[in-house]
Amino acid sequence: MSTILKIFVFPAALVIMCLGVLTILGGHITPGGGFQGGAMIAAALIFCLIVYGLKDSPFHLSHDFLAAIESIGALIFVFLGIAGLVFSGFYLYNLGVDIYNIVPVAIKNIFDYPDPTHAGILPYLNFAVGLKVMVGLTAVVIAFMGFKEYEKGSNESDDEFEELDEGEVE
Amino acid sequence: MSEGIKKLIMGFSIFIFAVTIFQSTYHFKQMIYPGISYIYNYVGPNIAPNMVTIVVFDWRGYDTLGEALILVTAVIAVLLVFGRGRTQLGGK
Amino acid sequence: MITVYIGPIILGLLLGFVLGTRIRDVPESGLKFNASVYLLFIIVAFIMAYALGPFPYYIDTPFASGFVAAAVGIILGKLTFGRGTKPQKTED
Repeated sequence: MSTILKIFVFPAALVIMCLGVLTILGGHITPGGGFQGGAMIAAALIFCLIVYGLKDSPFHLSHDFLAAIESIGALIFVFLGIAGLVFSGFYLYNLGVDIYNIVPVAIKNIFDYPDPTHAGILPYLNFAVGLKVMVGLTAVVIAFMGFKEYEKGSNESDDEFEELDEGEVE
Repeated sequence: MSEGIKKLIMGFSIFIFAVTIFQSTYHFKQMIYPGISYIYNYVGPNIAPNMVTIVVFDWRGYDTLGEALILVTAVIAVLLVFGRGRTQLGGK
Repeated sequence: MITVYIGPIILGLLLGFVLGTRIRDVPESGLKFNASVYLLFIIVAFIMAYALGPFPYYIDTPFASGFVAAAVGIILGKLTFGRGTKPQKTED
């Protein structure tokens, strides 16, 4: 890759990551949310991987880190649902805005989002899904980049056809 | 079978399907009863301004949990198929 | 400025911190990213946040608070847990 690309890519990837975080945080007001913002952050990480190569990339992503972050993202989602099941009777009940008024006010104030919109647990679910998507897509690309190229072994089958012509002449 | 009989059967079946589809969509709007949509259009704007996120994460949040687990399964399958001998998968 | 809403700031700092702990220097490839690059990145982040504007219904700051929180989080993550100059071991 040329020198101009190697100078330009690292600050540009940082800015794209910040834009992805902004898309995740505004999931309940603007178009966006967890899946879309996670894909933007993954695009920035893959950009760095392609230009610098797998060994010289400034973002060092080991296998343990990818496995840990993906598990944490999925577990946060599930535990928020179990919290809804414990304090009310319903799984994934929105404890910040309970529309049936069956939760005491202290628990409602714990799970509320400090925001003009008071959206409940929606931004925390967006955060968990954003973590999952960004790490999952990057792990697939890293697995593909470590793949060896096909070896050249297709020249051996051409020799067999030449021997048949010699047999027919005799 | 000859060509003529094939074309006859095809034309007849297309005619039957077309009549069925048009009869089921004629006056379709009077046949729907909104039901739960009235309640959620009244409650929704008090929770958050974006109705799409409310439906995806609050009303149908269980489906989004299944969607996230599909992503986990896909990543695990790709790492198992394409990563043998190259990534440390753990264990002995 | 009535009260500062701490929800987006805390979540933005957390996400930026997770991303910032992974930055490291590789001296053998000839690329050097010293402190001037990160200073330029912070200045560009402030200019972009002022041009983007806040979210609708937010009346605390005239710039996008989530964007600035993410930029500060990345820098904090690099300063605390940033890797040294060890090259990455490829897993065999």
